[in-house]
Amino acid sequence: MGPVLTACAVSKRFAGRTVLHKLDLDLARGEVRGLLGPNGSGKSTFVKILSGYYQPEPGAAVSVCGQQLRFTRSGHDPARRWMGFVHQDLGLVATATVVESFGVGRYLTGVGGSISWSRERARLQDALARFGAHLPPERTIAELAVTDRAILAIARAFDHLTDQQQGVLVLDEPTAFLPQDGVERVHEAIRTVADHGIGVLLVTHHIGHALSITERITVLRDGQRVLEQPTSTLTAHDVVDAMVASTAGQQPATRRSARTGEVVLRVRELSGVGVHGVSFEVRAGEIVGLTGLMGSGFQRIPYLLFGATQARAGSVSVHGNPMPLAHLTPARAITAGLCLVPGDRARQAAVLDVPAADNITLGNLRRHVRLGLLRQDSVIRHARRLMSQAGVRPLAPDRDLRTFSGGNQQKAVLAKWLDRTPMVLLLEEPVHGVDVASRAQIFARLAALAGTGTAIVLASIDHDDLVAACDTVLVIANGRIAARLHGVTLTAQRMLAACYQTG
Amino acid sequence: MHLSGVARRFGLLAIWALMIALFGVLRPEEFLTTGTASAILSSQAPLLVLALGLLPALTADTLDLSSPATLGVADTLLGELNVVHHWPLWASIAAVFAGGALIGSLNAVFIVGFGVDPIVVTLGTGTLLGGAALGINIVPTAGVSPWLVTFTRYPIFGLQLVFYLALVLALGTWYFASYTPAGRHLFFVGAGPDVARLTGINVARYRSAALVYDGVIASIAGVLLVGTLGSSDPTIGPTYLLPVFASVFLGATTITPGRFNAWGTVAAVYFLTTGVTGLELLGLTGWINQVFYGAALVLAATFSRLATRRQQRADPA
Repeated sequence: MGPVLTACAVSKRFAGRTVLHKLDLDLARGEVRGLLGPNGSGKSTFVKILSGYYQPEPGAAVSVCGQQLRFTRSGHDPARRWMGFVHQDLGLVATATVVESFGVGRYLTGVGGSISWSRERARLQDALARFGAHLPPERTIAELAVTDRAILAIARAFDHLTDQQQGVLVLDEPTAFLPQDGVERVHEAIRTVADHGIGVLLVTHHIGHALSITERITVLRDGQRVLEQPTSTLTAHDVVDAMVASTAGQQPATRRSARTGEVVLRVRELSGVGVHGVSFEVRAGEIVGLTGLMGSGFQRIPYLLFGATQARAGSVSVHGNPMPLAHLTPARAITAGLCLVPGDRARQAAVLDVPAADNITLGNLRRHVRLGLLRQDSVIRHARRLMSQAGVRPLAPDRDLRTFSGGNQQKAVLAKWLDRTPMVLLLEEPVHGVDVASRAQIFARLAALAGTGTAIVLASIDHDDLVAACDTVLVIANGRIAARLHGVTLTAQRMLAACYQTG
Repeated sequence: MHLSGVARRFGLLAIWALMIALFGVLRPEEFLTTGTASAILSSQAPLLVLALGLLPALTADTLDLSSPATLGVADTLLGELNVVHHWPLWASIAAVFAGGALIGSLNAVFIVGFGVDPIVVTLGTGTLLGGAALGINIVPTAGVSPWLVTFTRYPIFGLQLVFYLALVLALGTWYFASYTPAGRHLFFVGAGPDVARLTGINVARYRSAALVYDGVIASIAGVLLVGTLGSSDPTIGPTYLLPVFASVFLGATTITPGRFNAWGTVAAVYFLTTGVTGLELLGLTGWINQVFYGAALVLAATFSRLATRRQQRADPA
């Protein structure tokens, strides 16, 4: 019997950047395959091509159970009835009941097209019985334990397959938020699916889970397959090695290492949603990186320090002055000398349908008031000066920010905050979606700012950027500091190992 | 500026001029008189005040459907206190303004404090206030202090003072939005609440202030309405719901398209009332008011949506 999934030469480019390069992947009947790779390696893009969300570049061929996918623009394709998907969020609505959630999309109808709830309930019990689960049909999703939700989602995807003897089930991080015993139950559910003859593609960040459940592991890096071997021949270190770029990441970058300044930011036992007891210090002129897997909590730390989300416990001081963490608001954080450049440019950092000048000067409009009038000419002049310093092109402060390229938007956002010369600058993914030239400019700007004594905290998933830019990098796993890397230990290899807690 | 930009900004004024010309040709002896012009400009001034009062709340991306009902309660309460209970005019007006501030504060508590959807809250408070107005006095009250009537109707260049008061409010609203830091903060509160918050702007405070302001301005509109009509009427508030929302949404399609703005609102109020008055002179009475305002509201919202979409498509992402 042939493979249930054959993917040939699947490529995808976004804005000229190749994120997936001629990927080949076969999945046999009853096989559980792990698909791993660092952030941005192309895993999610591949899954989204399979699910019809993206169309691949011409030349790709994917067949499922012998039927070719046609990659129509609408994403609708009869071959997709052989495929099921469970995404990280599980696709469950919290207020719906178990039986409603299970049948949605293909309810069993009776007389006059009305839903036959008795048949739905019977079908639910049958399906769950196969997974050794019993869930009350009328309970809402919100009342279920997270593990039960994951199993319900898997059972539903399996049940919705057109043929329960052959097909493909794609699981995208279904175990990301599960407790340890839950992971085992979900793994049993995955085994059950595979034992029926379904090929399972398990996309995961968790090397340990992949090693324990899969038969083969495929590792992607920079859109290309860099490893594909039977799991029995692999160790966790083999997988990490494959994920890290072989040359770039292993040598510590040579960086000016001033680090002579006094401590500016002192964080003690900081806790909040997804963050537990994190302590660190940032000195004047130091750039401290924060990284981890998606969902590890590292991205939340700048927001907690800025008062944008409420911290539960801990203490934070700037130049020895304690900040009122319990009543911290962005306004108070700004007064204390902090600035935050959020990662979500379109929603949190700027309003794109408004002129660049209005965005850049928003934080300090009072200086442009003369005789009771807000002077727009003064606003434009000042914005032009800041944009010129930041290297924003074109130098057109009255144009809507949306008309600038991503890199120039980001430089403009940075210009807004650097107008204040902060004591502590917090950044989340400052070069996300930014072209190469602008990235270099932005990092040079940060290094120059550090040179003047600003303490910088840089949260990013890009390990190579962190190696190049930071003096110290804290790796966060499950909301706690898993590693502190600096000097010779500051390599992308060590970062990744600490992310997966295999180092 | 491109020609299409000029058309978008001033198209409504051109259509308005065309409409005046058309009614003038059809009904020259009735429509093209200073009497008609003066009547339209002065009698609709309370509507303009009410519409201008809504702008800050809409700019801050919240909503007050209860402001017409606030106008109605203010209108009724003034007649009740001044005529029935013989309160002095100044005390009656002070009580009415305090009531407007109280209504705005209640809306703010539920919308900003508890985070309830503003449509739901103000639909509820608006209905409640409509009933409250009838509870205060079920019948119209004539005989309000002649001081108020003389004041609002005081003629200047053939128009009543109330019209100039509305223009002063428009001027103030425009000045606030264009030339004060607080006005620009308010705009960002609506356009990008997260951006505003992370820039240190107190989003909740701005939204609350806009709602309280709206309550006060709606009560001022109610007082002016008593002055222009010379009597108070408990059923009048709800009749302002469609005109006021049609005006602010149509106003957002002109002068500064895509933003709620003062001069656009002035143009829209008089565009719509000219249309209604002209159609009534053509003999279409009774039903035309609701049909015209209802259609105008939907069309205005549609045009403003299409304008923003075209703008976004024109810009490279």
